[in-house]
Amino acid sequence: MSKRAASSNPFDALRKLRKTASSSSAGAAFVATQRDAALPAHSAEHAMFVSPTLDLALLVVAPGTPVAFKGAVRIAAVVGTCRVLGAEMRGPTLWSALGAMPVHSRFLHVFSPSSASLLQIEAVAASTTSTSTSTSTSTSTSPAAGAHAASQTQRRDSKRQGSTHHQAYAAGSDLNGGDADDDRVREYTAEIVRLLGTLPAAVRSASGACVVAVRAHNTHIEHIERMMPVFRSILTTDAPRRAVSSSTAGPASIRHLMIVSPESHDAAAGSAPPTVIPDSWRDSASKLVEAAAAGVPRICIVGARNAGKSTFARFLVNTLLTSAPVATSGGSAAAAHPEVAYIDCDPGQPGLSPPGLVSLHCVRAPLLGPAFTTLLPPLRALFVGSSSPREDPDYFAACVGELVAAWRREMPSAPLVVNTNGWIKGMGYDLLMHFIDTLSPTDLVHVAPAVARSGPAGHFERVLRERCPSARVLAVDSASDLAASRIKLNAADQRALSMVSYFMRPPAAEPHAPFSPTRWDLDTPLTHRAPYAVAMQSLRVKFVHEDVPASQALAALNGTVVGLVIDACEYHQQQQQQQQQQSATPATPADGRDAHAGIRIVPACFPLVPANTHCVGLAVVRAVDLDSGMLHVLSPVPRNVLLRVNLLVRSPGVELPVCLLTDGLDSIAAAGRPSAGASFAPPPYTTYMLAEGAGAAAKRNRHLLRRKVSGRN
Amino acid sequence: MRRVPRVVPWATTEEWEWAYAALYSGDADAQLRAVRRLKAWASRGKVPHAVESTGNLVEISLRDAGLLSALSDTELRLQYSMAFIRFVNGLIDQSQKGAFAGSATAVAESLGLPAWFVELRHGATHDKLPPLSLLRTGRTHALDWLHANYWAVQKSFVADATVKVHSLLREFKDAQKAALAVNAASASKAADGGQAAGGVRAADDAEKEIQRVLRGLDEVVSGDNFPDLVVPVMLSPGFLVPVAKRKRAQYGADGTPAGLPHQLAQLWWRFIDACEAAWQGFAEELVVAVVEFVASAAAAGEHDDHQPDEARPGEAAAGKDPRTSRSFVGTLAAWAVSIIEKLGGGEQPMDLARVARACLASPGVLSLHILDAAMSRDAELSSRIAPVRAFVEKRMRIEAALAHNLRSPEAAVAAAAAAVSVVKPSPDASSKKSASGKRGSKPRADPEAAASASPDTEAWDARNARLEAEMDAIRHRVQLAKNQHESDSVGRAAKRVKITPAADGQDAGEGTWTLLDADSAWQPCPIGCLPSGTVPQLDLPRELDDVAVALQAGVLQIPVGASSDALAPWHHTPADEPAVPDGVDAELPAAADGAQTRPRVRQDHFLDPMSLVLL
Repeated sequence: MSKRAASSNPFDALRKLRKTASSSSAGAAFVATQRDAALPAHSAEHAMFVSPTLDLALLVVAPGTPVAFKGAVRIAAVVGTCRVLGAEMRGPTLWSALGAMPVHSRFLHVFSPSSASLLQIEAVAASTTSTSTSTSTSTSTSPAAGAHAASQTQRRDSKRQGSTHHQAYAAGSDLNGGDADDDRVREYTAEIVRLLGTLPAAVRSASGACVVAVRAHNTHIEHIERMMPVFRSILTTDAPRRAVSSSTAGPASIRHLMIVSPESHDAAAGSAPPTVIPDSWRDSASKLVEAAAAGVPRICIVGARNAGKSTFARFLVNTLLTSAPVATSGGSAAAAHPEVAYIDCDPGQPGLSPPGLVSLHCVRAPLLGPAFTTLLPPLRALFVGSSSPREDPDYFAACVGELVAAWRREMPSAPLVVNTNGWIKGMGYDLLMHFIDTLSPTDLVHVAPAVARSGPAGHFERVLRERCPSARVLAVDSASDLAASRIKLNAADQRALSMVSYFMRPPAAEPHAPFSPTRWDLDTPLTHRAPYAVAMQSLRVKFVHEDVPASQALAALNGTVVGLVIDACEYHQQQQQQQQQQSATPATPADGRDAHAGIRIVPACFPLVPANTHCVGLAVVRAVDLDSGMLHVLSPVPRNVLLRVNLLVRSPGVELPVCLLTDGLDSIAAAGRPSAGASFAPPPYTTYMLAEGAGAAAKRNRHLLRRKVSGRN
Repeated sequence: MRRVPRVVPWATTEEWEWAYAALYSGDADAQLRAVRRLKAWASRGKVPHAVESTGNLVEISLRDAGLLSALSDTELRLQYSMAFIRFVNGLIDQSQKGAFAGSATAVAESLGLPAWFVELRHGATHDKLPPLSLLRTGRTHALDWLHANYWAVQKSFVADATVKVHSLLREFKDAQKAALAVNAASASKAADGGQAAGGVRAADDAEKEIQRVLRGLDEVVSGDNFPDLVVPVMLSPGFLVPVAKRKRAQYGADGTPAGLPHQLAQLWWRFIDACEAAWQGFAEELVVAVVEFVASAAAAGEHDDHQPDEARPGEAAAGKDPRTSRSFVGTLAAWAVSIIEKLGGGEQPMDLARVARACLASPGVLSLHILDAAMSRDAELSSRIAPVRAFVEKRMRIEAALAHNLRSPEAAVAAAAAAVSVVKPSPDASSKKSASGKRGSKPRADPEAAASASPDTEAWDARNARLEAEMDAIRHRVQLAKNQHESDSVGRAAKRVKITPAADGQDAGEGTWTLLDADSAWQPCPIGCLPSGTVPQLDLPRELDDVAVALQAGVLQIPVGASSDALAPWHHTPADEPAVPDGVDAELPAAADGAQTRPRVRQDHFLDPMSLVLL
């Protein structure tokens, strides 16, 4: 739609950072970091130098004072070394040789919305990384050595992995793929060098500081804010933004970056606290990096709900991908891992796939953002169809077992990180132990609040040690006790975020064929997107968790989210036999297709077999055309993958956020609606009517209702 | 800001009402249909607890055929007990507030749930399984209770409230008329030099009455539902538009309505102001409703009203909706313009971009008239929309030309081509290129983007590209019109996608997953709808619910190697009958044998007349 216009949109924002000095003759504007003018000035440990011509700025981060930020940007280390959520980035330039031309910096997309705790950029002290910095500078052509190595490996691997399911994605599966504007690399590099030259002497002398180049992002992800009221201002600020014409060559800046000083995160960041990395994370991660250098670790992360398992899993994956070589006991230096296998067993809030799935991913680039910004095509995924294993524990256990088996088959030499769900009580405990037996992990990481360690968490750790004596059990503190309580979005909102992010990819009609994890089109409503028409005859349909009579299959399917499954099961060929003897069965009309539109249903009594299925993603059955026997289907999955899908699975646990149903309806002609009285007709399957009467609300699970017992306490 | 609707499992209110009627019809066949539809709802999710409970209780009742039941008494008692326990517990759980659970009895009392419901639940849970007779009584009373406390309440809510709002609005109209009359009288008396005490009292009375009506309205209506309750009533005859045609707005020479008659404006502005004060966004909803109403009236074909006022019955006899008459919609449009002019730029200005989107989505003479009012209130909006507006107006002319010339396609093509060359926005080469690249993805104008995007993202070349795409769409439609003798209607084109049957049930291969582009006449429409904008009827033949029939039709798909007893629990087959999937492993001889040799699964044996007795 307005993609071209939007991407050339000027970057209007560093004026969010209030104290913008006018562009000096040297061309660099100095921007102090406090966003809020009321803040004390002492928090200016870092400084920002903004390019007057490009959407580029240099951020100087002093060691020991991490910089938390909100927004979406691209970053690359230029001088020194920095870390973001465990991902280490090493700049190509040394403080001692500032004038030298830095080689092209590979920018990585970083997403720090206030729907999760905010990311921090921290400088890594020069003393600890001096060897690695010089190593990477001399050997690597890229500053972000880890990420660069990853991309090289990927190119190599895309050939080797040709036989696997994800073949179709190989071209676009790099989360932080190179940007299309490579022709402007020289321009940016030259500007970085020029800005480096303008750094004040005080900054230059502060050795150990890290200079990070920051660019505006081009993903359009911030448009997600308009979809639901609760998403408002998760990436941008409330302050009205004034637009500048794209042709103006005036002072450009970086939109959607907001530096959050430690004292101000309440006021400025919409209450999301920064992710403060506890020391126990670094200690555990470095132990695990050593283990990965010595062998292939199977790391299983366990803990209760909201303990911070997912964030730690990302931290660990990023560390494994980018950590500097470590000296192993044998004395040899092991390189960072080009790829890490990641299994997510939490179908409620999976880290890399849309809700309702459990999946195995081959991760080759750091995961720099919360789940909805890092949705990746899976190496192997299975449709669970609910936000917890409760609905079908046996099937769930088979699914996660199959994912481990898939890792053993597909990428056995890559370190494995498994994130479990937070169900550790009752049957959840048994499920977890069963899974641990299946995986037989080398390392068990238990994430829990430090205060709980003396109580139930400590007990759980002892149980883990007894149960799994061969594994090393590492105790890790929750990142921030404040985080969970400060974030306004609940689990359902997070699922909605992921669903919106998942479906609002550039529409299939767009010529840019390969799937890119960092491209969105949130301005073309789902209701306006041309669907695929697929013959019901070429698919099977399966309903899980609720049995649906065959006559009601289409009523149950219309307008819902389904799992797209490649099903390797063989089925009996009734149809041919039936056609051979079109006997006068009264219930079978002459033209069989017209009677039941060619629908084929796998009865509920034959459960999905995880070993035989692969869920390539989700789709919306946006309409059913009974006359032609066609389903109209919307999905971000590429068409060449869709062609292999032969089973649709529907489960009540996977919901389409209502904003996707209503988005864009304003501009659909009222004339298309039934009658003159329909001016307020809501879209199908919704109503504006209030729920009236007893029991008018849908049932929800009864949790945490305690009884008042007399005599207790 | 568009309101956010609530997700429900039924497609339309009519579907809900159909299920309600069927479940309480006493007709076992209708009940069975409804129970099956409720299973589809369960798969969709978000089924109200009361609906689920009703379905459970009715379904078991259908299995309970007295002596002829396929189930033993114990089975029935277990089923009734579970349905009843879940019915009571679900209600109580929903009413639990706070961190601590209250006692079931106390919550039941607050709900108006009979105490013996809670006792029966307790007995079924903890004590001896209650006898069948008691459970049947419980079932009957539970269904009655659900009827009185959920179904009837939900159904009548909107209807009752609408009736109430209707009468309150009439009372307001009378009171305001009285107040205006008193004012007029006192004004003339003041002109004469005196003021009667009676006039003051009458004015007080009228004012009191107005206040009473507004308070009454506030009790019935809330900020959530005023668009459902108040706005539709205001758009019905006798309110914003007087019944008497001479009191309505007159049309000007240019075909658009002139301003509102003074009397009419005086009558309702007080009310609109009060509503806007009470519920923020009222004026905006009202204007958008008027725009949509005007559009749908235009679609229904507005008609001239030559008849004098007294001839209204005759009008109805002629089968014409009085609400689609020219003077009716014209007066509504005049109201919209008046409201935009007065409130469009107030302290809490209405979302004029939304109004503009609504106008552009269904352009007509009147909606463009309203659009002009919105544009005159907002210079920024105006500059953004002006080219779109110009284009839409020209497209209207082209379509009018096409409509007149449909019988001779060549003439239509010529006329449209002429029109196209007139509007062509003289694009440069690059925009032409991007237009052809985007062709198909956007077959219609995109007023949404035009109105919502900020000006900087609406670069001129993008506008031109869109106009170009629109030109393509029009040329395409001309082509379709030309081909009309080949196909009955343009809409059918979507169905001409060829069906490739799967070779042998495995990978579908090429030919499926066809993207519906502009050539297939697909149009944006709500999720769940076909491009025609309607939810099709989705019931498949009932016979398919019979496992044997469904197997034979190939609707049920049985995995090879599945264990032969896998189907058994799926369908309640009495032990004396051969289980349905007997032949599954042996390449389905059941299907091959045909219906004659194999005893067919008894069709819905619970549909026995005896079940009617029990209901």
